[in-house]
Amino acid sequence: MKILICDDSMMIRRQLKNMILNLGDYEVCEASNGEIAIETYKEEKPNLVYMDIIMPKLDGVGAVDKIIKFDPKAQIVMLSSVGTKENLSKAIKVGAVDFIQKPVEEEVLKNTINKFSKGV
Amino acid sequence: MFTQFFGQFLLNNNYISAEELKKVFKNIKNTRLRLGMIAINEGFLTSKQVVEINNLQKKQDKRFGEVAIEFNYLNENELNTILTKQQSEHLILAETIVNQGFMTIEEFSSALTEYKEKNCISDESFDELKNGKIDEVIYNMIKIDDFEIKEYIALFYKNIVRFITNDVYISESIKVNEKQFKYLFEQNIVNEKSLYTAFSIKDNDLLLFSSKYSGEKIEVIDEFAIDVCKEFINLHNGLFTVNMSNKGKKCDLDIPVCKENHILKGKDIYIIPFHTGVGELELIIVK
Repeated sequence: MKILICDDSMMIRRQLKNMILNLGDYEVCEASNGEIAIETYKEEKPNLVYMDIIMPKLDGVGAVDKIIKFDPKAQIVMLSSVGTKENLSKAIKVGAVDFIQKPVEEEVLKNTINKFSKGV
Repeated sequence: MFTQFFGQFLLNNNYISAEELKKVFKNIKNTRLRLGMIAINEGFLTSKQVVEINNLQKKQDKRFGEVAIEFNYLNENELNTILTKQQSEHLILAETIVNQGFMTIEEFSSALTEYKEKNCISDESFDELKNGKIDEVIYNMIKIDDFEIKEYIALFYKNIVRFITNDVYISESIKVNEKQFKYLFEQNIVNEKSLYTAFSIKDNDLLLFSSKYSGEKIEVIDEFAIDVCKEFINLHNGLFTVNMSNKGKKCDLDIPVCKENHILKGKDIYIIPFHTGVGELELIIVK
């Protein structure tokens, strides 16, 4: 199973990658903004994406919108410190499947991987 | 948080010096009684449940007891029992201060009475200090009229305690129109009236702070150290924005940035000095 982490924070990408690799034999790819995330998605075709919201160049909601247009079956989990109703609603509207409030716990990450790995 | 609040009061009223307070915080570390630990000792919670509650607390501005009740891990009676046991936190503080010769037991007792009176804390509600009245106590420490700024500072204080260190107290805020900062980590909170927020921290303290927050040993101020500090203000502002949103105030966040050797100019720049176990930092707010 391949997982794409998109977050402009190096620390968050590093922490998430370590958590994911700790949880099992997963392949992890990274992107530091929404534009790179779209390109990486097209190249790597990951099974699951963790997407931050506030990022330079293209934000997470904009990136989800474009990825879903490219692949309507894309499984994208939003991951942000700004877990407001407005952001949740925007993300769901463009096609995100779940939302995780930062800081991220390994247990929560594990649950989403289990939830969205069915059929992979 | 009683130790931080009362320590702050003792400092502000010149009962002990900043150096003495630092020593008190350092020595009290190993004897702190945590609610979770008391609950485990009492057989009310398992360590797994305590970790679960602590993890949820990192994301939501909720009290330990509140989460434990929500999860049905504790009932009201059990919570009251552990809160009562935790009251002895002030005895541990008293012992630490008196043992080090910074105050006599009579001086401590008299200062505690004065503290309760100034903060309108009755003997009956003393056990609520660490839980029910945290925000009010922090608001009393901050001599700024604007309530939104008070709320912002109070949350920053709590997030420093949650994510960085228990050893923290703040000094009187100052208002300037211009100041230069070595490293400034800033982020705008955008709503009808934008709030400029930032914190500043210097060299070695930046290394200690970023090491603590990232959980990694950081020895040079590189891209990663800078990124960690930007992520801290981003997380804090995210939690503040969620609180605002829950009150019906819509806000958005700009991308956090780091500026080096930057001169900040503007009208009414509030600077709040935070003295923490990992060094000195300044919180900066402009409304």
